[in-house]
Amino acid sequence: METELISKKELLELTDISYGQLYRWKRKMLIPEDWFIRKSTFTGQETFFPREKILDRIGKIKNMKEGASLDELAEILSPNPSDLQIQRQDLLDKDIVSPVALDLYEQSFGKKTTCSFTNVLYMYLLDSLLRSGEISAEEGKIIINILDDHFASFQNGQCELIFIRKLGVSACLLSTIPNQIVFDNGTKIVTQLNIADTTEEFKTKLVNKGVTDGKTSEE
Amino acid sequence: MEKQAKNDLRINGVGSSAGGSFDTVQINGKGEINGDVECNDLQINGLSTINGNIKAETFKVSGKSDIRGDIKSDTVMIDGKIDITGGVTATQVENRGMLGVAKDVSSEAFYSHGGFKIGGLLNADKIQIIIYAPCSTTDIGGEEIDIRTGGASGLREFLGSFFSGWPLETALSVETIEGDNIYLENTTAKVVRGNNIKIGPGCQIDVVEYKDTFEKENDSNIRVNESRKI
Repeated sequence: METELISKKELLELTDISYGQLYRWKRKMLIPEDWFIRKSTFTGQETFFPREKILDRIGKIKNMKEGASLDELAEILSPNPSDLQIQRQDLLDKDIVSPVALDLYEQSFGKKTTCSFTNVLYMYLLDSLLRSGEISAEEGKIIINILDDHFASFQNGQCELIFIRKLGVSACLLSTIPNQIVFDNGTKIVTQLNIADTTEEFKTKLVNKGVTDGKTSEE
Repeated sequence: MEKQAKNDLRINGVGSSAGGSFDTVQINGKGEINGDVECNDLQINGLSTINGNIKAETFKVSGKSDIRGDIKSDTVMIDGKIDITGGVTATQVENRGMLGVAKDVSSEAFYSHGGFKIGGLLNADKIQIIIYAPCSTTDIGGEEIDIRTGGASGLREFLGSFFSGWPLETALSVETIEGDNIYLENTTAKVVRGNNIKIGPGCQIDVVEYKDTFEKENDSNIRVNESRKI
């Protein structure tokens, strides 16, 4: 699959940022190393980026820059799970996950008053899958169980969740990215989800909802 | 952050350690550390080999050091010779000796009054290089980039007497330089890109691409094959 590229020059012009800013963001790891693609052109070495991803990322950085410092931004954009603790009550009050997803999670893992970041991330993943209508509640349990057992073993949270179904039997797998997996014709890929992307989306949501650290409740 | 009382590691004379977490690490003499080191203050006066990654607040080498790993430190000060097989991440790097890094160097500020050999990208907001010994890197990127020739001081000969293996032409060679404001002397580069670019004596540049201003000093010793406004 060929992704459309954008040259550094074009990028700077289009987004109106300077070399200094771009290099600073790279240093702060706001832009992942592997997005920098070096190519030889007739004007010498040039750097290219995956067009859609980088434009989206720079838009995000510029939007959030007013409210957060670069280090905070780096934390939000990093796929690493944070060490945030979230109050159970906040999950519902601030509408971070739906009661259905929370309930499903608690059926498997019991009720807790404070939840770790990864716990809530699993609920969030589950929630978005349930909302999409692609999986049933029973299947949701398979997903949170595999996440709970194996997600921690993936470095930097870089993994992909694939959910398949064949003849009414469903199964779930986690895999590193980039990967190539093929299935036989009878297998239907129900959903394929990049967890690193979802983590970023989830962190952005937490910030927007004003959940910054453990002390979100007023008392 | 909670402050825990940590022990110091001092090697005076000849010694070795397995690494670990310390307050101050000081090597006076000849030392070897086999393992990662995490500390506030790391000082090497003499000869040392560290087989592991370093995480420190301040890191100072006044001797000769070989590091087989990455360095993460707020300030990095080199007054001798250091060879690093990994990369360097810092807030400020001050080099007054010979800095050898196999991978990238990222820092808010980078000052060099000696020589260096960087295998990857030199990335810093403010880059100030005074060339006293050969300098080379693959790429330079940042906001303010200022590269000048060091005066004809005794330091150059002094360094030369130590590093006999290095050819002693005091120039900087690099593939690409990208920055907002750039001033160059004695620099050999394939491409220089930036907003405001000024080229001084001794530069050999294939292509200059500028956005706002481009200036070339009146000197016969300057070669710029091509310049274009973008």
